[in-house]
Amino acid sequence: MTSIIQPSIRQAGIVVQRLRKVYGQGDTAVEALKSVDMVVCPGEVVGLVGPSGSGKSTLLKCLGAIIEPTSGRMVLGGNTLYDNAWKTKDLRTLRRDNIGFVFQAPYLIPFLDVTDNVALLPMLAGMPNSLARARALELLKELDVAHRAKAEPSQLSGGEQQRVSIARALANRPPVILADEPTAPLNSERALAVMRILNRMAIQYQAAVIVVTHDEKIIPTFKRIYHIREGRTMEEAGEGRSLDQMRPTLPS
Amino acid sequence: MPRKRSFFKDNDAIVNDRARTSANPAFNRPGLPGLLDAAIASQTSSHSVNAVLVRVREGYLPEQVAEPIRRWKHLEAYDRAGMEDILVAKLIATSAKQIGMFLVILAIVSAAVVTFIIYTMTIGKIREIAVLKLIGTSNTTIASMILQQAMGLGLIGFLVGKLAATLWAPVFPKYVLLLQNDALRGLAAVMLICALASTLAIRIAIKVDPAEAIGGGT
Repeated sequence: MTSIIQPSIRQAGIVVQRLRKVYGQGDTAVEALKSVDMVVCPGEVVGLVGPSGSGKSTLLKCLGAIIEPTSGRMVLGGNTLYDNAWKTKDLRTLRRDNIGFVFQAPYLIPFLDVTDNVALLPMLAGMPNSLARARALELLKELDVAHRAKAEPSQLSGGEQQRVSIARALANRPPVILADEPTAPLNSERALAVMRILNRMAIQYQAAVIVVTHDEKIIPTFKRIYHIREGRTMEEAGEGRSLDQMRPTLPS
Repeated sequence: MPRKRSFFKDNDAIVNDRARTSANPAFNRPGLPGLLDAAIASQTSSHSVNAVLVRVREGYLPEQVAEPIRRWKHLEAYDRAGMEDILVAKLIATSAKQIGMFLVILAIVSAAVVTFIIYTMTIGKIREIAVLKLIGTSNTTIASMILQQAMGLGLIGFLVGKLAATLWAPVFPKYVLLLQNDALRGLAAVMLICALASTLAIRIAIKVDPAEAIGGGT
């Protein structure tokens, strides 16, 4: 497959080549991914769309180093993480240092305040607590939720919680962000605001962002979209509508 | 040789016996109005005694007095050490065993309750635990979070219990001596119970698949 954008592997945020994933063995084997190719540049936000059962979640789990592909190659942030086998055994550290996750629901830790929810990852990576909290506050400020820094997650609105979860995903400055239906529970205004934040953060932190979505509200905002069908990806140019022109406000 | 003999005829057992006699319908028959008084009078005028307390004059050993008494049939003599042994090793030890049994039952029930609470709290946070694992939190960190939660619960329970016991102790008829060391041992036992109770929840948390944080399906 020829990509519309063809950066070198070193420059690319995400490069996936001939990725294959088979569940089970023998007669019961199911080939969830047949041959997936994908390139996402640093600072770029691409959409991953497809019908249910097409392999979106499997691809996301492979990219997130949650499940092991059967074969193929994955390069994240210029580092080959998988080439027919994992290049490291410590997938936990690999995920922590290289990949930020944004989920459909924010899943913030209920007994930690907003700052600690964001600072948790840098702390786990060994950053001193004061520095981790300073970084968390800086991110919260950029995402306009610094005024809720001491609040419990349950005291935040849905939009604020989602912004905190984006801040958490960015806390370790990962080269890759994987977002799984991040706008599904939000209304149009909030969904567009989340996309605006993801685009802004992608450029600011030079992160390659993949957004898995079914959400018709945000699909026109992608410049490039990967369609996944029966375990294969097809790339097409998206409408790339300007988010600023679509809606100007942040979610409350 | 014995300096003083004290006859405690109306000891607790006699008073209780008299009360039982008064309450007995057999002695309160309408046709026999003097029966109860006669029965009580017979008890009061009885020459039988339960025990005699003897205080020995200075210069004599209790054993010297006790030894000849023991030679009498149906009589037993105890010196101070023997009485203390009866009191401590028999009466107090029996009470201590009863309290100990209640404590064991309470400990088992508390462990079951704490296990259930921590288990329920953990099951309610499976998605959050999956997210923590997905973003790179180690099993050790997650286990220590659950352990801290169980310990916190135990500490709150202990403090509430200690405060309640201290404030309510005077209301209860029997005085139970709770020394500082006993309280500390109790705290250690509570912490141990909570640590053991959290193991089930920790096992569940460790088995959580980080993939649960990502939407299901393929």
